[in-house]
Formats: sequence, C-alpha cells, structure tokens
Amino acid sequence: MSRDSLGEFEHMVLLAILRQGGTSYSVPIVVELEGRTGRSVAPAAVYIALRRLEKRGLLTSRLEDNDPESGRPRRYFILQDPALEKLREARQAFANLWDGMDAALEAGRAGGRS
Amino acid sequence: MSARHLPPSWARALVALVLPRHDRDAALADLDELYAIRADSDGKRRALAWYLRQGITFPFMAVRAQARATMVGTGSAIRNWLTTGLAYDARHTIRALRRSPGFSLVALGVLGLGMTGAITVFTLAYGILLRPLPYADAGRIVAMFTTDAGERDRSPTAPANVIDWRRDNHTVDFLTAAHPWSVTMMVDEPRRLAGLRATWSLFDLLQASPLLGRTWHEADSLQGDDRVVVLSHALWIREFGADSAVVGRTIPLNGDPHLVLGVMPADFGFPPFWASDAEFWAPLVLAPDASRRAQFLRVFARMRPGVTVDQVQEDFGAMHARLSLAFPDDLAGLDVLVEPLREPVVGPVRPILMGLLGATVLLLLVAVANVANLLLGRALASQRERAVRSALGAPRGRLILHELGQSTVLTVLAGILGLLTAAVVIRSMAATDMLGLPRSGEIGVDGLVVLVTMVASLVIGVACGGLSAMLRVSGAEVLRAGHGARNRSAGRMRDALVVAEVALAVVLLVGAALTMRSMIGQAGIDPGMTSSGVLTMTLDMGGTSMFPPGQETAIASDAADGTERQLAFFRETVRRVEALPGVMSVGLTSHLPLAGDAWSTAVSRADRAVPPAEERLTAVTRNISPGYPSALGLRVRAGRSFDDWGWDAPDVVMVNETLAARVWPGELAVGRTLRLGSDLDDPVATVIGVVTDVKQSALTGDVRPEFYRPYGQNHFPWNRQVSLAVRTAGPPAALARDVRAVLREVEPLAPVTDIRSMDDVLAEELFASRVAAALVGVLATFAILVSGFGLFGVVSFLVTQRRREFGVRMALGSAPGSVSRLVLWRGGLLVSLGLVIGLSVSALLTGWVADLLYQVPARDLGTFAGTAAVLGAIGLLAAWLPARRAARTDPSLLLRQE
Repeated sequence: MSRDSLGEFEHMVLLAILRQGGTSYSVPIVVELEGRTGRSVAPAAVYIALRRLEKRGLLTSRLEDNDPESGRPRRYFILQDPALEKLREARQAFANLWDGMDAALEAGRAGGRS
Repeated sequence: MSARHLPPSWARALVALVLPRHDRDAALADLDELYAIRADSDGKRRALAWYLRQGITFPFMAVRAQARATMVGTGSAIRNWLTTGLAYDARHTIRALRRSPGFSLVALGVLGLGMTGAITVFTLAYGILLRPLPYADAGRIVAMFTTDAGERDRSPTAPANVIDWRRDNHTVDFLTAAHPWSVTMMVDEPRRLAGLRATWSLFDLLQASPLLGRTWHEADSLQGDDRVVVLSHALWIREFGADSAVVGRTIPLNGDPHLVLGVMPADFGFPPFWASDAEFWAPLVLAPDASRRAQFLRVFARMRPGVTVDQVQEDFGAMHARLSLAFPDDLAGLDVLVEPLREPVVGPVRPILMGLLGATVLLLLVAVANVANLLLGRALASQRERAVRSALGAPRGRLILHELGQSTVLTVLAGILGLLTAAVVIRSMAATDMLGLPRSGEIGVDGLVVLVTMVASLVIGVACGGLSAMLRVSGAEVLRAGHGARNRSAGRMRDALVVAEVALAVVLLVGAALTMRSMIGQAGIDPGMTSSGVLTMTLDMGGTSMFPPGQETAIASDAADGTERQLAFFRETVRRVEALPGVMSVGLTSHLPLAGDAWSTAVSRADRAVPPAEERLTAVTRNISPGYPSALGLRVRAGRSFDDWGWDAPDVVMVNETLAARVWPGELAVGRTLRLGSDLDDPVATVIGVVTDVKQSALTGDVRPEFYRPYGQNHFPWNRQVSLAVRTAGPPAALARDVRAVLREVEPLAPVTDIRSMDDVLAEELFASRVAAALVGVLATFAILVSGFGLFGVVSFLVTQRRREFGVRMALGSAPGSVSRLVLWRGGLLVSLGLVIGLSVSALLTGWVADLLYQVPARDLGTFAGTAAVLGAIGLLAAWLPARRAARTDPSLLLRQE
C-alpha cells in the first residue's frame, strides 16, 4: 500500500466524520464506529488516527477551551477537501473492483456453506 | 450527553498520567464522556474496567504508532515485527498470562513492586536533588556563609562584611542579606507571624512577580521609608480572607504600621532553607557603621553571566583575605563558603535519598533476576514447542523476537503498574509530609519519570527475554528426549541468577541492618538532660511594651528600661506558672537546646592574656533563669547550679564539661574566671558549676563548649523571644492549656508558639532517620522473600527434572535421606556462593554509607555474620521443602508412569 492511500481504519474514521456533517470530536466518532461495525473501538486508536490524518492535511483541528455544550475542553476535527477527494477515489476504486462480482460472491458463499 | 456518571477521581488521576500532555484536558473530557455512555449501558463496574484499560492502550498505541512512523522505509524484520508481530506477541503474552494466573501474579507482583520502589525513590530523588529550585534562572543564585576556617559549618555573616562584599565583589549582582523576623500582629488577639527581613535587592535577585500589587526593589530604597511589606499567599488567605483591598493598607507589625505593597503567588517561597516558614518579606536597611562581629545575616546573590561558583568562591575568598588583614580581631579564624542555593536546601537529605535509591535499585535487581529466572523456567518448559516451531521452519530471528516480545510486554506491564502505584504512594507521601523532606510539595510523576520507567522496562524486558532467547534448542534432542530433556546451559543460567539474587539480597540486608543499628544507636543518645516530663513553649515579646516600636531597624544595645521590664515579666511568669498544680519546676531561657540556631561568642581564661585570633575558642551561650537547670534536668558535675543563686547573681556562669575541659584541661574549673569576649575589657565571670554536655543543634552532632548566664546579666537585650521549660508531675501535654492561660494573663500581647514536650522535640530529631531505616528494612525483607522464593523455584524445578533419576536411585537402594541431602547440597551450594559474593561486595560498598552511620563501623562483623545467618537459614529452608519432596518420590509409581 502506498503511503498516501487511506488505511482501512483511517477510511472508517473519515466516513464517521463525514456522517457527522464534516466536523466532529472523538466521542461521536467512537460511538458511530462501534454502532456501525459492531466492534469495540479503542479511543486511543481513534485519537492516533485523527492526529495522523491531521498531519497529512486531511483534517484540521481546533481546541475549544470551554466547550459550550460540555463546559470542558474539547478538540474538534474538520474534514478538508483533500479528504473528500481521497474518499471519492477510494469509493471509485472499490466500485471498480466490485464491478460484476456480486454473482461470484453469492456463488462462493453458497459453495462454502455446502 | 450524559453528565451523571464520572469515573472515580483516582482512576482519572491515573489515566491522566499516560495521556499526551499537550491535549490532556480534552482527551480526559472525551474519555469521561465515553465512560458515562458505557456506565449507562453496561454498568459502572464494567465501565471502570474499560476506563482503566484505556490507561494501557493509550501509551501502547502511541509507542507503536511512533515506531511505525520512524521505521517507515527500513523494511526490516524488526519493522515487520514491530508493526504486526509485536501486537501478536502482546496478545499472545496477555493470553498466556491469563492462562497461568499464578505465574502472572508472581511475575507482575514481584517486578511491579520492585518498579514501584525504584520509581518512587527515583521521583523523589530527581524532584528534590536535580530539579531546579522554583526561581527564575535558579541555577545562578548562590548562598554565601561565614565558616570557621577549614570547616563547612555555614554560619551567618556580620553586616559590615556584607556591606564590603556588596561593594567590592566582581562576580555577583543583587547581593542580598536577610535575617528571620518574627513579629506580633495584633488583630483581635496577638498573632505571631514569621517573616524575613532582607536588603532592598531581594526581589531583583529572585525576579519574582507578585500576584497583587508590587514588590519592592533597589530603587525604592531611595524613597526612604522601609516600613513596607509584601505578603505570602498563605498569610493573605489566612489573616486577610484573600481580600485584595489589603494592598495599599497599613498593618501593625510589633505595633508599628507597615504599608502592604503586594501579595506573592501561592507557589512563591523564600528562603528555601533555614527560615523557610517566612510568610512576609520586609526590607532591611544596614547601618553604615554596622558590626563586623555580630553574625546574624544570611547572604544570597546572583552570579553574573558566564561566572562559575568556583570563580565566585575565589572572588569572595580574596575579599575575605583582604578584610581579615584589615580587621584581624574580628575575622581571623573565619572563612567564606559560596554554594549554589540548592546545596544548603538539599545537601542534608542527599545521603539519605541516595541510600534509599541504592536500596531500591538493589531490590529492583533482585526482582529482575527473579523474573528472568521465572521466564527461563517457562522457556525450558516450552522447549518442545519451540523445537517443533523451529522444525517446521520458523526462522530463528522470529523465535528470538517472540521471546523478547513476551518478556517486554511483561516488563512494560510491570512498569505501568509501578508508575500507577508510585504515583499514589508519592501523592500520599506529599500529603502527609512523611519524611519531612524539603520541596516535597513540588514532586510528582511527570513525563521524564514515565520516559525513564518505560526505557528501563524495555531494557529489563530485553535483558530477561534475551536470556531465554539465548537458550540453545537442539530440536532433535528435545524431540527425542520428550519433556524430561535437560538443558545444561539453561540450568547454569538459572543457578547464576539465584546466586545473583542471594548476593544482592545480602548487600541490601547488610545495608538495612547497618542503618537500623545506627538508628537504634541514635535513639539511645544521651541528650544530656532528662527530657521526659518537660513541656516547652516560646513567647514572643516583640509586640509588648518591653519592645517599644521604633527600635526595629537597628539592634538596640542599651535598652536598659526594657531589660528591667523584661526581668519583672520573667519573675512574674515563673512565679505564676510554678503555682500551678502539677508543676514541679519552671525555667526560662533565651533559646532551648535542639531548637534551631545556637548563639556563640569567644571565651578565654581571664587570668591569661587574650589568645591570638586563630587560637580563639568560641562557645555557645544561653541566658537562663534560676529554675532552668532543674526544669530540664541538667546534671551538675561539680560546684553548684543557679538554682541556688537567684536571678541576678552577678558575674557568674555555669559551663558544660566540654568547655571546662578545653579551657582548663586537667584542672578544676569551679572558682576560675572566664573572659566572655575577645577583648581585654570584655566582662569576666566566675565559674560556679560544671554541668553535663547538652546536645545543642543536632542529636548526632558533637557538643561545642557552652556556658550559661543568669538572665539578670541579660546579654541579649535585643532578643525578643523567651522559651519556657516546665517540669511536670504528670504528662506534659495535660498542662499545656493551663500554662498558656497563665501566660496570656501575665502578658496578653505576647503570642505563645511551639508548644511541645521535650520528648517530642527529640523524637522529631530522629524522625527522618527512623522512617528511612524502616523503609530500608521493608525493602530488605522483601528482597529476602523474593530471593528465597527464587531459590525455591530453581530447586523445585531441579527436583522435577531429576525425579526419574531419584526414582532409579531409590529403586537401586539409596535411602530417601541421601536423595534429599543431594538436593540440599545443591541448594546450599548456591546459597553459599551467593553469601560469599554478597558479603564481599558489601565489604567493598559499605565505605560509601559510612557517612550515614552513627557510631556503627561500616564493616561491622556482627552485622555481616547476622546477615549471613539469616539468609543462610532462609536459603536452606527454601531448598529443604523441595528436598523433602524428592525424598518422598515413590520409585515404583514413577517407573510405572514412564
């Protein structure tokens, strides 16, 4: 995998932010990922992925010292255009790969079961 | 968002330790929120378990991400392992730890405890000894002391010398002199406040900013009025209810109004040693004609850029030499000592801390040897698995990394465990001020401590795993021989580890035994008085009519009127306190023994010429009232006591045995005359009695020559404090309230402080060394247990491995006793080797601790022999248990199993 393509987890994190309207912080991302994948997600992993994506310029962040909602400090991450570009690329690549595979997948599954 | 549930504060404190510092608050808030969500859905207990797990995943994932980022492009096996294999090994290890809880508990417990001790003491030692003092560019602040030539006794300096130093030096700026200043502040009732008077440059020297208002500076001295004051944060809160309007108001100190200029922030304190309880700072003006003899000022300064302490020492030494030529009478026999400010603060505790650090590192090494041993045992047990993997084509490098990964995960877990417990231990130590250590409020587990711990954990992990990884596995042999295969190199390694454990435990135990013996020796020191049943307290007369306002700036030398009033007050105090039921005798003194500074003056035989300055003897001096010798239980060796003389016995003194022996060696002192000063016309007094030496400033220190004068000859007219010693029939504390009430009646304006029994004063002297001895004792006990346990493990394993051989021996007619002797012999050999090595190393090392010991030789034969006996016995017990098992081997059963 080349360095500038998205990792699986990064991909998931970016989609979670997109689903929150393009701006979010770690808690809703963890909740979203856990809810949609059914797997437990470590906040540390989300945290590190967010930081890495920020370093790559796909996200920016801002720290609210006294967030109006919670009254506590909170760091928001904001999706940037290059991230949207990456997501589109990734979806296209997967779509190309999946093209015409539905039948084969169904058959393979049926074969594996029998 | 649910705000109902919050994780317990201890858990938050622990997790906060491992979160990235720059974003800690936001990350904590996020984790709190996730905790609340989990507590709602899964219950509090599971939410807490999840929360604590985050304390492990955060540092682990951060390290892994860092490793990935830095290893990008290397493409090596190590990179592959770090990115995928490490996680696999970590999971494998954690699963394996869960599968064998006994092994994990012992390994994690032993190593975690060793880590806790080492981290705790390292944190203390680093925080106290190495971290800069909390002043701007603190490394450049130095302290200057006057010393007796060739000594390092750190005495104060006379004002005339300070003035010359400030004018003539070439190496420092903002030279500041200070003395403690206790005042009485009358609000509703008299309060005694401890403060510091310092020359105008104090705040230029410290470069400290106030919280409110302003500080005073050198430029302010031109304005003239020195009745200004800067308050500490604590004083501002306590006495003024944190009212910011206090700035600009005047407050009466000793009846004299002082303008409040400002309030310092909560973390400001000065000086960091000696008068460190100062709660306000007021300017001090040195008179141009000040004394060159009255040594009462502590001196501080800031080194100029590029100047070293040695250069300052040289500069001041040269100035002192010039001044000594000009004023030989005043300065001969004295010298100057320049030290970084840190030195007088932490110097006294350095040996104790270094001793403790040594002890904890030894304990950690014992724990490491033990865990290495356990891991080796496990590696031996899984030889077959390794042989199979190797036979199936697993590369040798991968097997080694697997071994290293397992041990590293274990030691890193132990490191985290140690960090968490150490944080709790340090917090509770700081909260209770357990060791009475300086600076303990500033200390905590911080980034550097975490970093050092993690690096140490990794090194230990690699070292322990390395031993197992080095095991040569000859696949064919292992597979052929099955589980019973013996591995000679591993056996030798384990033997060596046990020998090392025993040897380390010996060193630690010898150290602990020496420390404890020294402590017991100190507890048995004769203070020279009968301390039990004595109540002591101090009165501050600064705000009373005995010290009218306006005498503050210069030390009054002829306050005859005040002296008369003082004497009347003293007589009345003694009369009233003596009348209380339960009081046996009452004495007053200018200052109690073991309670801070001891004042001294030159003395010589009055029947001879004044000796030259360099041969001059200085003696500690106290004013006392007639009842003092009997109240403190001084023992009269010759002559009589003041008890028989009354208040104003003219021109008489009592001397201690040391003074008698130094001034009149081999002669009787009683009836002789002593010159009290260094001039021919200084007063002369007749010795009426010789009393036993009373410890003056420290229980373990040497006793200096000392003489006592009756209060009637009051030679400290400027001294505003007087201390009481009350000998009571019952427990001293029971009378404290009554005595205090009487004092209040006699002089309502004089606050009473330091109400303690003399026994408490003595106990406090010994407290730190007692705690240190107890700690070392606990460490040593633990080391003995751990090394005994290690020996037990090795000998047990040996028995298991040779069970078949023992079975065969017994089947062929060997008695069970001979089999158990065989095992005991092996264990005994290991223990003896460890003892010999440990005792030799101890003999080499104890020279270092000699300074810490009081009247115990560092190579004390009894201590060494006792240590050998204790460890030998425990070692034999550890070997005897498996030996017994060996003797009970049932040959028929065993051979049938095969």
